[in-house]
Amino acid sequence: MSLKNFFRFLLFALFIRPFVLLILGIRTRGKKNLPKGQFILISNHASHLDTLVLLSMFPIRKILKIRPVAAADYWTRSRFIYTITDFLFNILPIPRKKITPSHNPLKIMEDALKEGYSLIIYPEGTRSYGENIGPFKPGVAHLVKKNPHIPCIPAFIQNTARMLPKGQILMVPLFVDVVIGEPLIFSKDTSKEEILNTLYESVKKLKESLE
Amino acid sequence: MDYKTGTFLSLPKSALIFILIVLGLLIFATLFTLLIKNKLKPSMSEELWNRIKAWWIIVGIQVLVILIHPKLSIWLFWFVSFWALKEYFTALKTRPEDHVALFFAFFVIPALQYLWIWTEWYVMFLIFVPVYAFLAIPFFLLISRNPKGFIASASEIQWGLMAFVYGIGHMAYLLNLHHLTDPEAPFNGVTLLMYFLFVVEMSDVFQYIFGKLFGKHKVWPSISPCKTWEGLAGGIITAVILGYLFRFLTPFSPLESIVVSFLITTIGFIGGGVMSATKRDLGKKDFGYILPGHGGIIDRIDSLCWAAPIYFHYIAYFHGYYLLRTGTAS
Repeated sequence: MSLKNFFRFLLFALFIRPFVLLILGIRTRGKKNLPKGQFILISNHASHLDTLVLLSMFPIRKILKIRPVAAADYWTRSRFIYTITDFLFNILPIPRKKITPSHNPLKIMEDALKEGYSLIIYPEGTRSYGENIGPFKPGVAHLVKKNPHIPCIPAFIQNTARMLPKGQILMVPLFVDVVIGEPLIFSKDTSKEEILNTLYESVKKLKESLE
Repeated sequence: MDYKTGTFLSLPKSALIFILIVLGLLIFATLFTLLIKNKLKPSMSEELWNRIKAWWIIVGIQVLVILIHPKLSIWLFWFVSFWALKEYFTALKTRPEDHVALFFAFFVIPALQYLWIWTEWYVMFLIFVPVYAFLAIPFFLLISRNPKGFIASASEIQWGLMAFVYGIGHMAYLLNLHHLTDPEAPFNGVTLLMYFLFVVEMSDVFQYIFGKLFGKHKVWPSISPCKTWEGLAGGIITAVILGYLFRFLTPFSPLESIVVSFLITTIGFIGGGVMSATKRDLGKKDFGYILPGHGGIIDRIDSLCWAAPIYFHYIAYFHGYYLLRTGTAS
């Protein structure tokens, strides 16, 4: 374990875990669906709390091998923000604009997968207002199609939009409800549209299961 | 009891005897469940088992906290208030405009209320939520400048604060009632709280047991489907008998102990009904699932929220000499 990871471990064990347990109080369904090996976690995105919530589904040792995919233009806009989020969550910044072959979000994510990291992806590409799931961006389907051996885990997070919505700085500590769906494994010849559609539908189904 | 040096060694003997009796009862209930486990339906025995486990957790935490330092329980009650507010506001359909008001209802108002309790500022403790929070919450709702749904939001937030911060706070304030008692006296704030929790919770437990065994006539099926008159009568009578037997924890005369036990169990039953109606109104079966078999924390403390202020003010009125030394009360 590197020194950085050692301090991250301590931070999670001493502060983030107690905060999540005592203040946030997450209620999870379908935790048994989380795989032991590598995975791509697909979730709706409505709040900055989402990443914290999804990471706390896992044992701390495993968190060190997970990288949340984040928008580079937002999360690296200042050195200060990048240093903090990089240290806390080990984010994987990808560009949303001005994409070139050498500066390609797909390649960045594939490299991370090859290094053995699991990824958290919010295919909506931005935080939505409220609990409605926005349309998925197609990039995730390309990634899944190129790496069919890695299972996709759909997840739906409820209430974080009410707790810390876009544009608010005060947090209201309601309960977070998380549902984890069964792992999806696509065969090589599934089309990208079908992958994207299946992912979207499975997240939507999880949302409906909470109502 | 001197709280500055207060450890479990300075608790009155009656408190220690009481803790031993409760632990004994729990061990007995556990063994009894183990014995009859095979004779029951699997679903029934699992439910019973979950309840027993939950009681071990509840009693275990409470006893541990009191043994470390009695006043530490005030922090425990703060956490209970916080957790209940979480369940309540999560179940409600709050508006995005309520955000700032909710933030204050979660963090600022309970913190201040428990600060008054901790520092024994009696008058402030009595008026803070019904007066100052009542005036402040609508102000925070004005920030969004949206009048649509204003009255509903203001009332819902105030209602939650009254039930889960003000009501629960009265149990915490009982811990302060140690003034003017002679250190040799067999009761103080801690034992008064123990007596209250014991009588109300036992009434709940025996209402459940009698309801399961003899329950036929429903009290209010549209509010809570499992409450029966047979269960209610059995639960209250048992609780009153226990209240009479355990009066050594209190300054009550024999007759008083019967009256007080009857009062708090009846009002506790109404509190349970109020919370059931709230759940039905929101279309939920339970407020959450903190302990298996017990639903959420609100499902556990519903009767306490209602009975606590009545019990507290009974003591303050008829045995008010406890409050004399708080400096602000007379």
